[in-house]
Amino acid sequence: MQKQYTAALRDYVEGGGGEAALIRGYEVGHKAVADGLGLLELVTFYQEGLATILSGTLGPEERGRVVQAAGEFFLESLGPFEMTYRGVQWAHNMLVQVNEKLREINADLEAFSSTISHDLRAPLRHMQGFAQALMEDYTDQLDSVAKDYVRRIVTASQRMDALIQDLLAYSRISRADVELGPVSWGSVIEEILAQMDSEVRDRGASVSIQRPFPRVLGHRPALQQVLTNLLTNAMKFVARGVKPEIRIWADAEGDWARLWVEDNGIGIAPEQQGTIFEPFQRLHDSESYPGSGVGLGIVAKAVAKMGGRVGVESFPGKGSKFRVELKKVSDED
Amino acid sequence: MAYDTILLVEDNHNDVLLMERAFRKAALCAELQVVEVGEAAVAYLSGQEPYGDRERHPLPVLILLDLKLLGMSGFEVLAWLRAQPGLKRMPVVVLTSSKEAADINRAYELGANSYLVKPALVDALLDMVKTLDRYWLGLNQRPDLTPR
Repeated sequence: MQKQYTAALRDYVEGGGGEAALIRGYEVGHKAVADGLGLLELVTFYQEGLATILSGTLGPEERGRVVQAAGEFFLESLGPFEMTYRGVQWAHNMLVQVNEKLREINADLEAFSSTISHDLRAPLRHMQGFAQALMEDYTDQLDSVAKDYVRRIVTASQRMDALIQDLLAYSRISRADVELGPVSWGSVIEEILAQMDSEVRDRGASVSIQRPFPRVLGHRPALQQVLTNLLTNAMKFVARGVKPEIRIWADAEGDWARLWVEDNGIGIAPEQQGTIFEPFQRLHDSESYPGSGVGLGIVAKAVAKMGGRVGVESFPGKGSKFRVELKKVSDED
Repeated sequence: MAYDTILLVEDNHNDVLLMERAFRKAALCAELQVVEVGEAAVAYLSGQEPYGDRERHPLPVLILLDLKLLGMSGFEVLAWLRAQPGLKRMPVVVLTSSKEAADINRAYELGANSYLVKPALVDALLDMVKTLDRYWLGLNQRPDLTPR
């Protein structure tokens, strides 16, 4: 590159100027930019080139003319740098604008979900409240059909409330700043199992955990949400009359720690396994398996936010094996 | 026997009805006074008309404060209260439908003594009212509200 610069500079200076020779200055500058060279390197090329030319025996007048012409050439070779600089500045300004827009959209979403939690849930609370009050305060005036209707009002509004809560949870996890740090899978599992203890017992489920569990790069609240949703699904999607049996263990594949949650549930057909991690994908009618269809969407979103991957191995009637992969910090807690 | 007064600041009439029912069911030795807007809460607490008569509108031992009100918000009522000599010591329990961390933190920053989310089920509401009564009217030591 130095040689090319010196040669082009010499051509211009010694050829007595000229448009074609000057354009070569621009071309050399362009090549320097394309090669990823910086402005300082270009200045060095110029100084070295000029020194080489001036090292010949030149008269004082000739020297002055050479220095002036070399200056013209140098300016021309700076052209591509200037263009790049302006382009970067333009892109930077665009990014600042886009960023500002995103910030606004995020603030709007924040306000939106806060409005949902306030305004949409209040009427539901009232529906449930008055329906229950009707049932309790006027129980001797309602016959069994009327009571069934009232119960249906309560159930329907509870279902809608759960749906709104899930939507809010999904939007929270989508917007959350997830700060990654070492988290012990084992302690998260213990914590969630303790929290879900009554649900596990209500469903007559058995949960076996096989130690050891690794320490992974993650975000504790996100991991809790992931595990809660996977366990809730494992207990929910079983055939009628079947007691859920759930097995949790971990292994490693290279840098990745893999957590497995296996159930004896109804399983998932191969053609449906591709879409189950998308939000609002329901595979079943809400009568047999109530839910919002957001649970696995939250799992996938949370794991992606932690830089990890999710997957499932399943067959209808043979249960499902869900897999969460996260970067491993250490093999054991 | 003079009943203790609890002031409920709540603009949603359905919530007021459910709360009044819960008070009836819990059979508390406390009287529920209701104001529907923040401005009325300020008038009540500072003894302005139509709340000038302290026989009929006694100072409460506890305020149940909703945050989302038309006009003056619950936050503003709280900020106003905490700037009043004497009255600033009055226990305030925020009772709202918002679980947003921003609302919770702001309420505590402004001096709320507790923050509760309105329960969906009437049994849970009844439980909450009984607990409020046992804790704030029973166990809790009351401040002196006279300015000094």
